[in-house]
Amino acid sequence: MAFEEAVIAGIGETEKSRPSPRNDQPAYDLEEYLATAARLTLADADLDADEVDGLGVARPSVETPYRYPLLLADELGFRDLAWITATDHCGGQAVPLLAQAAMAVDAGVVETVLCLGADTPKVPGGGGEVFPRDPRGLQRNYKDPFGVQGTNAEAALAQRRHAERYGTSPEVLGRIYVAQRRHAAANPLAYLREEVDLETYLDSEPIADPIRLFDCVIPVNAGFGALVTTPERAAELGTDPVSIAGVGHNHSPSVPRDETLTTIGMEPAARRAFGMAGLDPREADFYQLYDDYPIVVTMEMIEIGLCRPTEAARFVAETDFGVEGEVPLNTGGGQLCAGQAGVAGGFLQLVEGVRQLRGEGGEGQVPDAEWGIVTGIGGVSANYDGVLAANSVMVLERGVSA
Amino acid sequence: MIDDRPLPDTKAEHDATFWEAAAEDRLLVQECGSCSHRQLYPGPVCRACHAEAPGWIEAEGTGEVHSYTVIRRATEHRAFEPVIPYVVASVELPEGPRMLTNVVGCDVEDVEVGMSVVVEFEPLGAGLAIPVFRPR
Ligand SMILES: [Zn+2]
Repeated sequence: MAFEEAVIAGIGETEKSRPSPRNDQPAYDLEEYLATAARLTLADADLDADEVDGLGVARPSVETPYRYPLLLADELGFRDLAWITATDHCGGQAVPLLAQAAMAVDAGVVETVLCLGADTPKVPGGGGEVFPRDPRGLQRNYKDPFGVQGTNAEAALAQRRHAERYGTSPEVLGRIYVAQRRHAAANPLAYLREEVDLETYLDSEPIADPIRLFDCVIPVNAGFGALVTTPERAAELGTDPVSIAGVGHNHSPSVPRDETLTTIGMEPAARRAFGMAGLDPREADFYQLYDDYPIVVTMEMIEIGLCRPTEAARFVAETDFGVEGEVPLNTGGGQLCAGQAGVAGGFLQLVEGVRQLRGEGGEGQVPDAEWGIVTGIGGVSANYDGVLAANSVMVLERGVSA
Repeated sequence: MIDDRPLPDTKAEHDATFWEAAAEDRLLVQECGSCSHRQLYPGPVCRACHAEAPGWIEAEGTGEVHSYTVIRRATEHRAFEPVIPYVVASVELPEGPRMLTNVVGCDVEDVEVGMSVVVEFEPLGAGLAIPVFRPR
């Protein structure tokens, strides 16, 4: 067991909103989401804020001052923290942030770390002060002038190439979306709460062929938290602990150049995580896979070891992704249907994984869930040699490790 | 011509060479002096062997469509709305690198993966030209 002296003992997740001038959905600011997430997480763990001695902050995509984690600690009213840490790994940063917290607790540097992530990509009136993240001009010089319409267009390039090679057609990929919409319908915290069928998915508005509207993740404002502490402290608190059986990460994967469109390079992260956990990925009880697009989920299934690329189309076409199926997938609806809170989006997968292992999945509960997989992906690299990719795989296990 | 089209930063250190050449109808890629690796999206080091200051070579100007998408909705850059539908493609150059570009000069429905294409330079005014591709 990788982290014998650290467990997850609390989670928090706010409601989602997409405020705009055309609706009356609430528009909270970033700090409000972070404060709410902190409050929900501490309440879930039944812990007083004064007993937290470590803070982990996932950096948001909206503009924040430098030293933001320090300012946030102040804002949240902490007076004596033994450790503050942060991640800046884009959308997939929940897993690396939890890994940092678990390392710090396992090493005895701190006892209890509150990890927070929130983002507010939806600003009423639009625009949003998105932090400029193009220091070398990749975007400005080699994408924007050609009308590359952001991630949708880049995912479309990947999906087209993947479909040509492996037959992953919209009819196949739509099964992922339909299953996740069903899961979202059972999740009171999901943004989209109505089921749709395959035909509705296929008929959704074309955005960037072959990407259609229901392939695209839905941006929402939200905040999340997770509390990491020692097994002893968790026992005192009385919440059901969840262990981290393994974690793996990799950046800028040096996959063969021919494959940079049809792989995301998660395989090394998966190998590390499952090696550490000593578990076979095909036997997990659930799969909370970072889902900005169904094609990305498909590539993850291949790269964590559920099927070979050549089998992927058949695998996705024939597998039951329901909570009682062979591959329970994104059991709370995933980011595609519950909503993507900007670069805090991956927290959705983490929090849902913990919920499942505590048996608190409600209508969406996987029966007898003992262990499961959470992944994260940060950054895009549809053409330019893996630039910015950050892949993470975490193996969660029910209870305190033996 | 697209009004308010996003323009490259032609003053940027490594990119200036690329865009100055494009204005003269030449397509350049970087070539590493140490390991001969070619890269587009130029930079200060070779991404294969980490040697500094890669040089430049002129590409032949042909390529093959590695993948493509037909843009149906301007989700990020509204300036392109008047030219929808249009093709954004990843074109593989015989020199090695792939580049994001447009395929023009044919119906969007006629573009295919594997299609042979040849570069042309679309003038944008102000001494700028953008390398796009058309069917060969
Ligand atoms: Zn080199």
